[in-house]
Amino acid sequence: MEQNFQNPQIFDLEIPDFSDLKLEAVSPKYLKVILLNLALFSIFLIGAVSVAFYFFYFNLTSLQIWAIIIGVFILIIFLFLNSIIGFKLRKYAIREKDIVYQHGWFKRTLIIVPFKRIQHIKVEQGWFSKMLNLKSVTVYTAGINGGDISINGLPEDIAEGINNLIRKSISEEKTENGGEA
Amino acid sequence: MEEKLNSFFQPQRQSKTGIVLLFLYNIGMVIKNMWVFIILFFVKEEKIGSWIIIPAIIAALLILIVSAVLQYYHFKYYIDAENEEFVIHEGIINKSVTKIKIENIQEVNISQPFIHRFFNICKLDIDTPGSSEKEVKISALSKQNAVDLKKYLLAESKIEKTTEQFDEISPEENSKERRSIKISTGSILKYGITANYIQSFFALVSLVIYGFSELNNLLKKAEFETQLDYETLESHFLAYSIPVLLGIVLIVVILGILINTIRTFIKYYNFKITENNKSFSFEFGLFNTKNSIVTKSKVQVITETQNWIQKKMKISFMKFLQIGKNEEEKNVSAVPGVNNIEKVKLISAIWNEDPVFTNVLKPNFRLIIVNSFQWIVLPLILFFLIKRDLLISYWFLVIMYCVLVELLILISFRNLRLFYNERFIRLKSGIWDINHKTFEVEKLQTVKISQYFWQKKTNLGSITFYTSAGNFKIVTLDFLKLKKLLNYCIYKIEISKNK
Repeated sequence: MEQNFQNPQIFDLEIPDFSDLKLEAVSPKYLKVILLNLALFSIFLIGAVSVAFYFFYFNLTSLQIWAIIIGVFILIIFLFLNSIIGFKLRKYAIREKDIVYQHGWFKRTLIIVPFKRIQHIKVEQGWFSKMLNLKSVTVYTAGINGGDISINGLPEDIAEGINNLIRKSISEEKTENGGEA
Repeated sequence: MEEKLNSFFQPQRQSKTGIVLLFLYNIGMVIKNMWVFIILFFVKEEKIGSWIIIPAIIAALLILIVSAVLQYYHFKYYIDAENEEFVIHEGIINKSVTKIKIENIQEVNISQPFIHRFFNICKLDIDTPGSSEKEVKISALSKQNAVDLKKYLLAESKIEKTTEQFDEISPEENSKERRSIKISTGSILKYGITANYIQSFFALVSLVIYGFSELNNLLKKAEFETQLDYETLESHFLAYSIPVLLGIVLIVVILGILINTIRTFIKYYNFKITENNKSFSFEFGLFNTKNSIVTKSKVQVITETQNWIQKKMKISFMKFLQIGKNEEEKNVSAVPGVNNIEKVKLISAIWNEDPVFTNVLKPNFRLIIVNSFQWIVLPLILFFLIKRDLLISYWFLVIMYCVLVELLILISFRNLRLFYNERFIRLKSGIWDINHKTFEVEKLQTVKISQYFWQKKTNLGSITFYTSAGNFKIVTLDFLKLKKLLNYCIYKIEISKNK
């Protein structure tokens, strides 16, 4: 092993670039699930705030009351806006050796999990998703807090396809290398 | 040696002296649980005659002795060779069997708490991944047995590897084995004096703020002549007490440092690092000798903490984070008061090199604006909405707060850096205690980059590195470079070989 081996040029070499990828969108039907969840949450939030006002009617100045009301509404509008605009940005891609997932409008996040680092996979389906024939795939890594990807709103067959692909790829890896250390 | 090792395949009991230990331990438990009654007894001694108390105590002791003996006979441990498990049977009435897959055993700690020293026996703790799992320990083993068992438990999982490595081991490397480093008492004292300054510092700052506000009040009061007697009395009292106050500050700070030094000294006294082929073992402690093992291949992250004074003294605090352990956890292996030579030795023993970084990413100055908004503007707005008059009447404190926080933001901004090279990534951060967290690109789990929508124009974003010993995030960096770094990290993970 060379001591302090340096060769920084590698960063500009031909390393597979994720920005060349054509990311795929999740099923448009999933927007319904998101909107339903958000609507439920908004109702709950408004309810909680009104109950708080009713029971604990402090001597708040009108400025403070308006600040709270405006705050709540801005929050709800923001959540809806974020998820509707952000929905178009919910995209994923499967490469030969990893899985790429991008999401979020307000804060756009992109995470890549190499198949090599996947500990286990979970395929899930909620009651509303079941009506729409959607499934979600979650891959878990050995990262301590997070580092996992959860792709929601995939059509059932695609979700199962991804699941099988990753499982196969992991088991191939294991037999090639004789098990992971 | 072989004979001895093999005996672990038969159910074994603890060391005979373990009975005494269990007995003492039980007494301790009883006293701990009944201290209320014991105090009551001493307070109201007349109510109950000693003729009842003495037999009761004797009976209790007898019961404890019997239970200690029974506990001793019911506690068995052995290695199940067939299933490659370490098995512990325990319990008198409620029997329990604990089985641990040997390959899952991460660390075996041998320690010698104070009482154990009198009997020259050891305690052995077995550490498995997943911190929530039930603690496994054997509380009384002879030193020889403990060392053998530890060797055996840790050797088992590495058998395949050692056979591979046999041809690699040259005579030179054999001589390297058992190399040891001893952290001198002087270094540990130096570390004790300089560490945890931050607490002392904040104590000082809050006291100074308090002092200033009192002084301010005093001056205000001095301007108005029409005052109540009570208030002038108070102000006089305060005027006298300012030197006293300063004295108290000084005493508090010195006391804090002193206590901290003594604590560090007791905890880390006689710190010995022994380097083996595949691991380090640490041994330290004044009263309780602790012993822990760092397996080189399991080290995920090495952190180094150093503040300004420690830098001048050329010592630092190092931590080795292993798989499945968070930085906050107490059993993370740490070495206090290492000097630069020892530091390089330790690092290069694990990674075969001491990383040198040529590429640096600095956060954009916009981070200062964001942080100022978050820690100064936003709290002030909220405060203004909730309690306006308080804000106005304590304007002096508010200004102090703003200046202090802005200063901290600027310092932390100046210290925030991301270094990277072919093999390693290092994050530097901190205000007073500067942390260097270094990890191997190959050992990363995943990498995440993110960007707020307003950062698109300025081409800034953040990156999070997920390792199996915690996450590391750094914000407001050049997004283009982060993308490249992400590509590179993923590429490196994918071409890495599973060892």
